Amino acid sequence: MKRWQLITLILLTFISLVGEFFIEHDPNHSTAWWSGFPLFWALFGFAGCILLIFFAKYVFKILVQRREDYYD
Amino acid sequence: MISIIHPSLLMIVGAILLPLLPKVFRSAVFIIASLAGLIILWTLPEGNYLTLNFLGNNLILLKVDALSKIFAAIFAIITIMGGVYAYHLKDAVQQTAALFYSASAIGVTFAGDFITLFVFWELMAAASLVLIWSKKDKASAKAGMRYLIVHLFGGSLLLAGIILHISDTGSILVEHLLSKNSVANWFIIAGFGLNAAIPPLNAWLPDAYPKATVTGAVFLSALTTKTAVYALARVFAGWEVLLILGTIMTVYGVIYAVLSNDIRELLSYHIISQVGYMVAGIGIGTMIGVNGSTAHAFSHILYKGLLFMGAGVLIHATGRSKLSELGGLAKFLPITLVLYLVGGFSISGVPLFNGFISKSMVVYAAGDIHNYLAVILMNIAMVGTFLSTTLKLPYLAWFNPARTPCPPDWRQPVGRGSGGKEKPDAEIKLNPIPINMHIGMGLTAFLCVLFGVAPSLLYQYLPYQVSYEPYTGAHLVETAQILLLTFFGFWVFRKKLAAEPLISLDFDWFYRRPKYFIKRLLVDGVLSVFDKTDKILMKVVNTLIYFGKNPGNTIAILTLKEPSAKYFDYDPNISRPSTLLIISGILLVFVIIIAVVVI
Repeated sequence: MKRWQLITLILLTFISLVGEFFIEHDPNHSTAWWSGFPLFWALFGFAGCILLIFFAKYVFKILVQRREDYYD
Repeated sequence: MISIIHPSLLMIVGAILLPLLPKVFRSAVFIIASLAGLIILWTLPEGNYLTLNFLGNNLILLKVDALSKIFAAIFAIITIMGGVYAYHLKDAVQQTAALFYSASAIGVTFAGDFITLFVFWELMAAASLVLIWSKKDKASAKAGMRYLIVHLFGGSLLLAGIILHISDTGSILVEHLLSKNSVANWFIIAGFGLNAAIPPLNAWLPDAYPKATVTGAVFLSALTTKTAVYALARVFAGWEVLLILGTIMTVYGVIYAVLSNDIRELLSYHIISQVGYMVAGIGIGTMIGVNGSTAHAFSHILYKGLLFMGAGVLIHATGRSKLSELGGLAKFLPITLVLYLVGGFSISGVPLFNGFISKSMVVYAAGDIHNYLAVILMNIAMVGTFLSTTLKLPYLAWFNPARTPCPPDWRQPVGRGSGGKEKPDAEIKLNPIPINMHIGMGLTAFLCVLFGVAPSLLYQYLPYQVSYEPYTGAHLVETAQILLLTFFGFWVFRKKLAAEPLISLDFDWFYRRPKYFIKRLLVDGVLSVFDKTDKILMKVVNTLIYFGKNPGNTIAILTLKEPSAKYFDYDPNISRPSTLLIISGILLVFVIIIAVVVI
């Protein structure tokens, strides 16, 4: 990654994280109690991404991945 | 009344005329026919038209309302875009098939009765098959055959359902069905579900689409699954089973996509994932749910077409489709990268792109009925979509540090410029990209951004009037947090995502793998018994022959474990003792006989 790309990304992340404390929650947007936790969706994104990678690459892979000539 | 023309009819006429025209006009006529289809269908007033009597049933060929109109419109739009993308194509078979395919899809959306719907449904399967077989290699021939068989099965389910439905109710109208106790309804939903690629009826899609032609895959990605989404929305809105299956689909497709090696297989699994949102929205069945599904189908057709176009450019340029064989293309295909990323941002639901304004509607609808498990799973699917489509695929295909710098002679003819150094891809050269491919991508990308920036352009044509505002502060922050942190997760573990040359088993295992066992049982098994018998018999025969040549070898044959030819030829050292023994034995017998006679 180039430096300006990294800076832009970090800036955007910062805005999105801090922004959460300045916006008012949409009253029409009915949400569960847990989604109101501060930074819930940030943690969700990070943990979800890692979980997906590891579940797919270490568990699911064993179940479904085979050599390319498997059906031949 | 006379002024009403069926848009499909016009496109079918175009498709039939197409092969008769000179080559240079075909691509233009393709675009004009689909454009004319779009204009006609968009100006149709709501109502039932073109009714005709068939075997005592009143067929309604053209039933126009908001739902059918918006679906038909997007089918026509993507046909135009695909026509631009495929403008360079000089293959009348594919062009005719694509136009037929699109016309049939529009025919399904406007069908007011089940008989018309079924006819167009099957025409669609046949026309789409041509786009797979046109690739003309062994893999596509086989995959096309499986596609055909699976779709014939799906068509049979649908037909069985329709026949049962007509005999139960006497009605042939395509209308909202409610009864969950009717066998007919379950047959129909299974027939629709197969085309919507709902697991376990999903495997045909990632099996066949990666093997279609570069341009054909664009049409395939847009039409078959979305006509099924339309049919489900029309007939089965509010069936809870669709909410459950749809939510599972969103995650199911995403997990497979993480593992996929073929770029179009990866995108195919994301079709399953994205169609999951639509199926779930239909399962929710509220006005906002069905609106969300419709909007998402509209957005999805645009960005998925764009993504398949981008993947098609990669395949066209390199002749390769596997991530494990691609890499370092950023220098050569920068425009393709940018346009592909527009599609990638759209499918991931990045604000200002069209996925954001439609996907969120379905998630909102799930939250609205307090199904938070569905909300969580759909958001996981969003994480996975961003991860595979927008981060992993471009990273591995365009950058891939394991394969950079890209061999400089990718642009050179075979055998030149290797300079003695080892270059793993020296034999590859980049094919030139026809400009129309990029124009097609550019137009589609423009629409993706247009509807993302101005969602009301789309919202006003949705089937129900409900107010929904995607650009709220809370929604923006939520989306930004999920996507940005997904990016950091990807960046930390990007090495783990390296593509491996493996294939993934799906539900197609159940009809592809038995072939192996049946072959072993009925072919290999029988052959090996035959083979063994043959060997044993030959051995016996050979032994007898050598025995006949020289009976003195008997002992040698019996004592040696592996009687081979060299022991059967005359060898005094081996033959002498046994011959001696036999002669002595015979003499002894004679002596005994004589002795007995004399005495």
